[in-house]
Amino acid sequence: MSQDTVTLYKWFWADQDEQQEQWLRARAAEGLHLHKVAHICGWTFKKGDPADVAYRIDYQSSNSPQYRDLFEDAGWECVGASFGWHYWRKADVNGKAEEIFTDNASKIEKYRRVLMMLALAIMPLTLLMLGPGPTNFFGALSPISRILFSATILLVFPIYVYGTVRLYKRIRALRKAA
Amino acid sequence: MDVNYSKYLPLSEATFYVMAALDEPLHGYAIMQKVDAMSEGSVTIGPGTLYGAFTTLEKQELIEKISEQERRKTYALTRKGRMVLAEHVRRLTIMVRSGQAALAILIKGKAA
Repeated sequence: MSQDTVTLYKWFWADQDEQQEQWLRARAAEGLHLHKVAHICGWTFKKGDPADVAYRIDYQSSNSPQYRDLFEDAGWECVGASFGWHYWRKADVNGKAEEIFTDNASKIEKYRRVLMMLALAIMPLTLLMLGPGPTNFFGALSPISRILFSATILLVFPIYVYGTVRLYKRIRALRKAA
Repeated sequence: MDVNYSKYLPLSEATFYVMAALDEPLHGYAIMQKVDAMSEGSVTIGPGTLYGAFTTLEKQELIEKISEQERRKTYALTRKGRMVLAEHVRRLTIMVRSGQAALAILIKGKAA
């Protein structure tokens, strides 16, 4: 990795997109501009001049050209798209950070898309674990692999459940505010 | 054409302005600009909200794509869309009249 890029790591839950946006904005104010979404909790920045920019994160499982065109026409630049998460950036207009979602209903819809994705993501795992006969992947494992696999599940599952509950709570709070 | 209005009404502020902007066929960005102007700057529609509104309104068959230029799709109200918009405006008009009448009485009461 060259000298003018830096990768930072930070964990955000799926409902903490606004915190994430603020964090990216604060980096830009220091002259660190998002260059690439490295992975689920790592971001690569390019060093440059400090700037006041808005970052907005959307979740869209399909990446249609209409979707991108709409944002780009409105002056947003797609800085990264990873696993359906889209990172949009736009310089402040008249000293104000702009929004991509301008009402609560569309914010709630976004979180519902994330929930749907999480539900779909866990399904194959559940089928592998509980599936009958030949699809029962777990039953076909050696004892050691079974222990390793179970340990992974035991570790990942609580995180998954906790993250999902947080999302539900966020949606409920937005509904009440509407 | 029978329309079950309760399925669509009341329209949200964003949905109302998107539909009201479509008194002529327009593409996405033009709608954003027109809503800004129509609402005298009181309502701004971001691209995320607009994309969602397109998806929903198209599914409900209140708007439809009518042409495509350089990948920009142009939308127009359907017949059902016009009827829903008209019914929404009719109900709004009643609300405005009721509100103005109530305010007039309140102001008179204060003056007395």
